[in-house]
Amino acid sequence: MKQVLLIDDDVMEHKLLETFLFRRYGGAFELVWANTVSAAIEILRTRSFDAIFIDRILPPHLGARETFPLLAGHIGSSQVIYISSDTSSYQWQPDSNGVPIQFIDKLDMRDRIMNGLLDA
Amino acid sequence: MLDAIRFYFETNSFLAHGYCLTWRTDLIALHALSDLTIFLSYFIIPTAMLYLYYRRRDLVPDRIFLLFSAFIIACGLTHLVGFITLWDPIYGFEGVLKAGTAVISGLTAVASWMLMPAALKLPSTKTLKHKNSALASAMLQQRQANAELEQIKAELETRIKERTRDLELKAEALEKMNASLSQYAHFASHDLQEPLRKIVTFTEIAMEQDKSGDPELTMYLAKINESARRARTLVRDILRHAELDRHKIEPRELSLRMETEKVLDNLELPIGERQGMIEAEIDDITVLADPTLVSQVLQNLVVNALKYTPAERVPHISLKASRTGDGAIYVIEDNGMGFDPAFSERIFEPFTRLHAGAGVSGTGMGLAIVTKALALLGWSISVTSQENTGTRFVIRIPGPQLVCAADAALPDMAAQ
Repeated sequence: MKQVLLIDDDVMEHKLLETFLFRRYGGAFELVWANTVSAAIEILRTRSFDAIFIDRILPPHLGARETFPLLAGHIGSSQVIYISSDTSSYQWQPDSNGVPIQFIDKLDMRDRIMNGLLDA
Repeated sequence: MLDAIRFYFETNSFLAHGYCLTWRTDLIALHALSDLTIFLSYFIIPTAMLYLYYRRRDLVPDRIFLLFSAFIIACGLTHLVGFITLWDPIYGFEGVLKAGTAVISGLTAVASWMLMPAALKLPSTKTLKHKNSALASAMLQQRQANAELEQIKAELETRIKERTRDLELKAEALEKMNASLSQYAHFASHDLQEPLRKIVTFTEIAMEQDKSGDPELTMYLAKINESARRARTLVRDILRHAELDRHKIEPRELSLRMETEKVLDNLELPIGERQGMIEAEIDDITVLADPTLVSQVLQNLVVNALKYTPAERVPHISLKASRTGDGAIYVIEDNGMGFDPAFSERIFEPFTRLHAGAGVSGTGMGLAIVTKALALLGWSISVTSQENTGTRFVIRIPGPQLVCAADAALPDMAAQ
């Protein structure tokens, strides 16, 4: 069963991701939602996930360069995927110290999940 | 001979001049004092002349100075001998001295007349005063002109300072405006695209879950979806184009082959969807360039090649890079719908669309982004095309940006 954490302040993203995951995995997934980085860190202290989706612009932070350092010590071996509506996000990549981070356009999220983004 | 000379200078047969004056003390004293005074004066005068000659050699020719000096000294010496002959009758010697003085006097007299024309040409005191006055007036005018010039210079400097300050203030204001515009653009990028993305996604879900079977409703949803997608793409492309203005160029050593592979990996989905045939022959060329810009250029050109190939035609895209005499070229060629060569220049301008209504959803920004990115890279591009046959873009990379194999190997060798 896929364990997925979504960190996004928009509840509709939870709804959308749930829909996409359901289409790909049926009921074989668990999606946990956190609307702030600190709430996500609290959750990550108690359990781990296969994948973590993080909204790139997550108030009050201004991007991955600010949020990744906060999360870096808690992600373990999770697949980290930054999602954004701003497709120029390649210019805002943080120094991930070797941890593979993916940046994907939210518009492509459904196709990417359906094409096995989380199956690696 | 010696006897004749001695005879000439002997004094035994003569009486001193004092006898003629009957040794009257007053007359002797008068003559003696006068002769001595004249002798001393005639000695001091040429001394002064020689001093003047030494300090101002430009006044009179050398020989004239020397001649006049010799003449005065000779005259002085005759008076000294006159003083001596009051008591000692050395009239032979006096005669010889006078003869010498006569010769010098004669030469000096001739020389003085020879000097006359040149002397007469010397400006008079009046002329000199007049000229001096004119010169003083000219100098005054010059000083006034200099003062005016200084004033103008000072005014100009003040104006330059004011203008510089104005420009600095404007530059600061522009920088602030640019920074806030960049921030605005960045957040607008996110906030404008976000609702459009939601419209796109939810209309897709709605279309998939629509059980009404109403074809008109499906068409409406499809139109909403298509319009939202197009608006989102347009916003994205405009922002990408604008963001290049503040792009911080970070050149790195890049393998053109690797960069091409990365771009093709990124475009795997759209290429797969169109079942595109890609032929890549990229020589082992390393360039010093900004990877983001290179990626944007290649990605836009490959996407263009896919987008502008008619749906019923399998896209054949050829990517070739090779060295030339003065750098390298990167050629991207497709078998797409091409365009009228008359538009070869216009095609690189923003919002230029040559295939409106031809089933192509371009925003007209792709090649404008390519052009801007290439300008930042210092590369150039040209295009040849034929309608319904295909398009060929040639990118030229200048020689200085190529990294020689030897240069590239240096760090490894150093590491060893």
